[in-house]
Amino acid sequence: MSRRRRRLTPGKILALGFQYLTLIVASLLVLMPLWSLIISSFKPAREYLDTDRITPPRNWFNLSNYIEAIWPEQANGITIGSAFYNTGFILVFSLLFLILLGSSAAFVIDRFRFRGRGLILGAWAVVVAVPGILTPVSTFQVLKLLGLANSKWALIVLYCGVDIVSILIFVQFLKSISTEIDDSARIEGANYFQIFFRLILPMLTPAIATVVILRTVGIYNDFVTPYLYVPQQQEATVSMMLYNMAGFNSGTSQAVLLAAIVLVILPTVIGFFILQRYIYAGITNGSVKG
Amino acid sequence: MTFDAKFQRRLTIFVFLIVPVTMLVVFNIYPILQLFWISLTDFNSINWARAKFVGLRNFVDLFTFDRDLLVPMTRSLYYLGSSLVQLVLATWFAVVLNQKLPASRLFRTILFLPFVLNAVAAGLIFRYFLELNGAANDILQLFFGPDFKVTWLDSSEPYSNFSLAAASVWRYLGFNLVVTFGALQSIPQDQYDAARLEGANQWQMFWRITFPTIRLVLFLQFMLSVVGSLEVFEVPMLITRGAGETSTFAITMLEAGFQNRRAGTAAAMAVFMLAIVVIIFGVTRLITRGRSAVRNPL
Repeated sequence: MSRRRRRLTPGKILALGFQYLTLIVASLLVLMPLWSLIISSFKPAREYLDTDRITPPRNWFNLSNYIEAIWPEQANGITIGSAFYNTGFILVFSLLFLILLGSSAAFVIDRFRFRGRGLILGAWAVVVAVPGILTPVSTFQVLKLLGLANSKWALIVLYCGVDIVSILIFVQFLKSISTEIDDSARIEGANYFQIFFRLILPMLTPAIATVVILRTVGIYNDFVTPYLYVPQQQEATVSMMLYNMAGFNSGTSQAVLLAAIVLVILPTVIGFFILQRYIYAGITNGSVKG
Repeated sequence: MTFDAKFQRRLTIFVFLIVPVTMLVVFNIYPILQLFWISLTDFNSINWARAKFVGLRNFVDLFTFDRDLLVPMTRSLYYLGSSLVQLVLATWFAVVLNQKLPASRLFRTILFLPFVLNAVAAGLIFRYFLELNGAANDILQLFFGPDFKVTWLDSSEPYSNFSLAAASVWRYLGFNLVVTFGALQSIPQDQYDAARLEGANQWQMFWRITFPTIRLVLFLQFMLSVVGSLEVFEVPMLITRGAGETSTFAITMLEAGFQNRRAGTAAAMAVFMLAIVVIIFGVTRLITRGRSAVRNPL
């Protein structure tokens, strides 16, 4: 790197300065709403009303809004704890099924050529092209028919049903695993189930990690699906809990709501700081190609 | 291959695909087909028994006395415009960050951050930021005096769509940045070194080396933005509740289908939009056919 360092002329310094300036301005614009959120979440109700939204709180350790958000004095709607439980429940089962169904489907699609394969791939491609926001009128009828509307399981089946990006990630990874491994296991008398579960699945761990990270972010942050199919309060995910709290008749004070928002974004923000490399890689591999 | 091996192979294919394919059919293919059927009926969202076949009436109505339902489509233009700005900015930042300057990683982290936030949280954060007494006005008051106030989110005014479009840029810029940045990684550094030896400046290097390589990725992102701007739902729904001038096609469609119990009309709207989306994807495929970046890995 240092060998490549070119000599700095005034023109280059100016260009570099301009580049940094744009980066700093953009970063400030990104951080400003977050700064306002965080400082306000520490202000007690009175102070929140009296001060503006950019000055830091008098006391950074005032946690009254957070306490009220977690243990509300009057419970209206669902508590944040139950919402985290609902989201966690949905996440665990969606990911479990998604990994199992996605990786096994990818295995068959990558390793075998069979009649109907093209049809299935074509169907997947069509489904990806159809925006989910257009089908709720009919999807809701299907969920109602199956008795799933208004239940957490509606979200689970919708999340793990068809996720072409995950299957793509699995297929790409499977291509890098030589079929010679399968063949030699076949010769030793293993059947395909044994090959898949004992040999292939353990080797898919990096792909599974990518899928888990990307889908966790996607499912945890999703608003549209629960909003459309599971409006019931008791089944509310963290998204729906915030949405209801911010509603006209919720009675939650704004400062408390801000604390709840911080609590909801905290897990993904921390996860992002730790795992950002994998998130970038997953997005680069999965997004545009899909 | 022995009979036994053949059977085992078929069994494996069947067992591994039966559940995913059933789910694909039940939760995706069937609803799409049913959408077409509903669009030809006067189904009221509840009672199937009373639904009558009405032919293309819903579609005819959509272009005659239900024309108001299509008006919100024009608001896609705000989002289309902002997503173009977003794409240009993202490309700029991706190129700048790709020089591996000090603190690049920090800037990338910051610019990507809004993308990992919960959708509702992000919407509410922006709603409170742009409130009349929110932080945006507080900051502007530092420069323009204490009486300066902008009603950013007055949903009776068309300009509020600019605020919403800005919220959308804030949230999704990082995504385009990371995708473009990923594409830049495939350009070997020595191409730039060679160009530099020849005395090329940064502007020339961008147009001669960088742009040709990422052109396809940018084009795909652009097409996704076009489709995305037609389907905008979350941002206006969470920030202004899709009221007044900020309603979009998707919001109007869902209102028709669920609140107003006009599933037939809503389905017709969906089919109409679907046709547009299919055309856009068709054009995309036609243009990118045979290019390596979209080679189907299956």
